[in-house]
Amino acid sequence: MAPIVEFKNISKSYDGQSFVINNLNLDVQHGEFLTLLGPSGSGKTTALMMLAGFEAPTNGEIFVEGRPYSSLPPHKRDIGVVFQSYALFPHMTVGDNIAFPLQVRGHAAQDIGRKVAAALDMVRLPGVASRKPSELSGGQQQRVALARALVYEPKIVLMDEPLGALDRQLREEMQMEIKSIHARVGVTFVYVTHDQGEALTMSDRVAIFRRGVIEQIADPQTLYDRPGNAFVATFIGDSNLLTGRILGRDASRTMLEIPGAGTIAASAGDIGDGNANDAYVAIRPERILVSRSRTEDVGRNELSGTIDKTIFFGDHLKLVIRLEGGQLLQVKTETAQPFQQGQAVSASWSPEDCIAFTSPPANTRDGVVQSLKNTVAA
Amino acid sequence: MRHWRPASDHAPTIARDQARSERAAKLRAFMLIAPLLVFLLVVFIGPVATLLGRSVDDQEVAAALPRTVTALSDWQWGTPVPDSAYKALVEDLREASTPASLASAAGRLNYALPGMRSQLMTTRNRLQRADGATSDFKALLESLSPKWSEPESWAAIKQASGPVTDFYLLTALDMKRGPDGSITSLPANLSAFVPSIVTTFTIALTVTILAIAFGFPFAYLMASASDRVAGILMFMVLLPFLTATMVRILAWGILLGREGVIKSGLMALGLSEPLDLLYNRTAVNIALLHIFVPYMVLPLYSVMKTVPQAHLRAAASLGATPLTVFRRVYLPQVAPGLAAGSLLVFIQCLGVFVVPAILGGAREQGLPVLIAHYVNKTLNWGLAAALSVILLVSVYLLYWLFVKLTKSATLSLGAR
Repeated sequence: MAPIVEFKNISKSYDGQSFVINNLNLDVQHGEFLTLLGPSGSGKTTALMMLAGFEAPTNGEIFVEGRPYSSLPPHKRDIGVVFQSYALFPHMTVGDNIAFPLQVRGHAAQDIGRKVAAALDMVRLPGVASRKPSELSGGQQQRVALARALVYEPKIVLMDEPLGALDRQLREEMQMEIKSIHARVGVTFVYVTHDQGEALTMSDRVAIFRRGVIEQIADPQTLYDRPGNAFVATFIGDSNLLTGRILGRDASRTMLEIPGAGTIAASAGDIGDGNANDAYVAIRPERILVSRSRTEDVGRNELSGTIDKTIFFGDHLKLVIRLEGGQLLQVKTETAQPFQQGQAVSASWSPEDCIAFTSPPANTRDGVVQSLKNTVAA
Repeated sequence: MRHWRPASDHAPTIARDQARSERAAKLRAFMLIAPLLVFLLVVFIGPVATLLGRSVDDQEVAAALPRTVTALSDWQWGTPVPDSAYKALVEDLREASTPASLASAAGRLNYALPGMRSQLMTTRNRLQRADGATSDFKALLESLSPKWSEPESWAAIKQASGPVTDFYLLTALDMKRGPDGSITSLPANLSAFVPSIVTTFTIALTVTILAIAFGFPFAYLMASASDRVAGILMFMVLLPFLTATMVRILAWGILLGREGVIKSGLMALGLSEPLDLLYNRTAVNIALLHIFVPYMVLPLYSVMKTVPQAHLRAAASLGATPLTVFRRVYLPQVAPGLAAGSLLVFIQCLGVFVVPAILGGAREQGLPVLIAHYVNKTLNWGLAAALSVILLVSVYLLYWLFVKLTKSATLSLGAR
C-alpha cells in the first residue's frame, strides 16, 4: 500500500543560508503512529507545520495520498492538529469547540450534536459540553482538543508536543489514552515530542531528528537495541559510550582496544569498510553484569575497574565504575548488590549488546555547514 | 448513634478568626482606594452631580414671587385666574425693592414665554411709582400691562414655580409644555437643538467607523509584526500625543485650506473642480480621526497581542476558511478591545469642542459648542446643564446597550 504521506526532498530555510530541514525524505504509512523525536531546534515541529500547511517548504514537495500538498491552504487539507497549548477557543463552550469543524463543513445540526457527544465519550469526558474550556484542567483541555481534531474524521491527525504542559503522572496517563484512541479509530497519527520515553511507549515507528535531518527511523525496539549511530544510541535511553581503537573487523564483529582497559568485541554499527581507526562503543547500562572477580567467560567482554559511586534510585541502583584507563561505565543493577565505593570489580557483557560506531555522537559544526553547502549547490 | 467530633469546640473559633481576617483584608483594601475615592468624589462626581442638578433646578421664580407662587398652586388651566393671585403678585412686585432682585426670575420666565421679562419689569416699575390704595388688583395689573389678562402669563409663572422643572430638558429636546401642561414638539423650522444633537452623534459615529477602518488593520499589523517593527509603529501612533492638539488642528486648517497643500496637489493632478475641504464635515472628520485614532489602536493592539497564533492555526486546520477564522475565532476574541476603542473614540467625539469650532462650518457645530454658548454668552446654566445631561445620558444608554448586546461587561483597555 502506498504511503499516505510522502516528504520528497523537503528543505526549509528562513534566511536562505541555514536550513531548518535539510533534504528530508519521509514516508508515513496508513494508520500508523509515527513520532518525530528530536531535541529542540531539530526541525521536527517545522516538518509537522509544513504537513499541516502553516509553513511552506523552500524546496521539495509533500504528497498526501499521492497529491502534491505544498500549495494547498491548511483549511483544505483535512488534517487535524493538536497543539501543545490546546488552542481551544476561549469564547466558545467545549461543545461549540468540538462542533466547530463540523459546522464549517456544513454538517446538519442533529448530526453535529450526536457526533460531539460521541467524541466526548471517546475521550472519556461526557457531560462537559456546556462548560467553558477555562473551567477544565489541563489534561481535560487536551482531551477536548483531541476530540475536536478527531470529530470530523480527518485523514491524518498531527500532534505537536500535546503533553508538554502536563505533569509527569498525567502525561503517562494521557500517553496510554492517546495510544488506545489511536488503536480504536485507526487514523494516521503523526506525533512530535522531545521526550524519548513518550516516543518509545506510544509509537509504531519513531523518526529521530537532528539538525534538520533524520538520523534513524525505525520501530522503538530496533531504535533501542540496534541504534544506527552514536547519536541515536545516546539520545534513546541511557547508553555508555566508550572510546577505543579498531584493531580489526570481520563481517559481524569488530575488535576494539579500550585504552588501558583491554580488548573487546562489538557488533558493527556504522563502522562500514572505512579505514577510520577511532570508534565509539555504546553499551546499555542494564546489559552489564558486575562481579567481584573476573568470570573468565571467553564469550563475553570483560573489563576491570573500581566502584566510583553508587546511586540509589528506589527501584534500581546505579553503579559508576572507573575502568582501568580512566573511562567511566554506568551500570544499572538490582538494589541488593553488596558493592561499596572503591571496591575492585569486573564488568562483563555480551558482544551482541554493544555496538561500535565511527561517527561521533555530536556532529561538528563544520560538518553541518558542509552538508548545507552541498544542498545549496544541488 | 453518637458521633465524637473533637473539632466541634474549635470550629466556630476558626470560622470567627477567618471572618475577622477577611474583614481586616477588606478594610485594608478599602483604605488603599480611599484617597482616590475621596479625590473622585471631590473633583469629579460632586461637580458632575451639581451640574446635572442645575438642569432641573428651578427656584428663581419661587424666591422672587413667593406669594404669587403660593396663590397659583391650586389654579387649574381653563379656570379663571384667582383674585388672590393678582393681589399676591402686586404685593410681590412691591416687595422687590430694586429691579435686580427680580432679574433672574424675569430671565427665567422670559425663556418660557418671550416678552415676560419686560412685562414683569414694566409692571414692577409702574407699581413702585403708582399709589397703592386700591382693592381691584386685577384691574390695576391689567391697566399696567394688558398681558396680565392673558392666562398664558400666569401659566408661565405657575410652571416655573419649582422647585424642580423639566423645562430645560424639554427645551434641549426641542419640546415645550403648553399652558395646559401638555408636552408638544416644536415644528421642524423652529427646532434648535435636535439638529445639533443629530450632528454631534453623526460626526461621532462617522469618526468611530473611520477609526475602526483605519485602526484595525494598523493594530493587526502592529500585533503581528516583530518587536522592533512594532516599536516603530507604536512610536508613530504615540507621536501625535507629543504635539499640542491646537497645533495639529491649525495644521489641518492650513493643509486643507484654500491655498493648502492638499488642494493645490489635487488641482495639479488635474482635478479641475476645486474641492472644498475646509469649514465642512470632511475637515472635521479628518481632524477628529487624526486626533482619536490612537484611542482605537491602543486597546485593539493590547487585545490582539493576547490572541495566540495557535488559535488561528487550529481553526484553519479544522477546515475554516480565512474569513470564517476571522469572523468566528479572531473577531470574538478582539471584540472587547474593539468595543473599548469604539467607546473611547465615540465618547470623546461627543465632547469635542475645538475641532468643529475651528475647522467646521455652521452645520458642524454640535452640542459642546451650544453648551459653551449658553455657559459663556447667555449665562443660561439650566439649559447648558440640560444639554450636558443629554450627552451624558446618551453615552450611558449606549454603554448599556453595548453590554446588553455583547452580554458581557468586560471592556478591555489593556489587561484581560
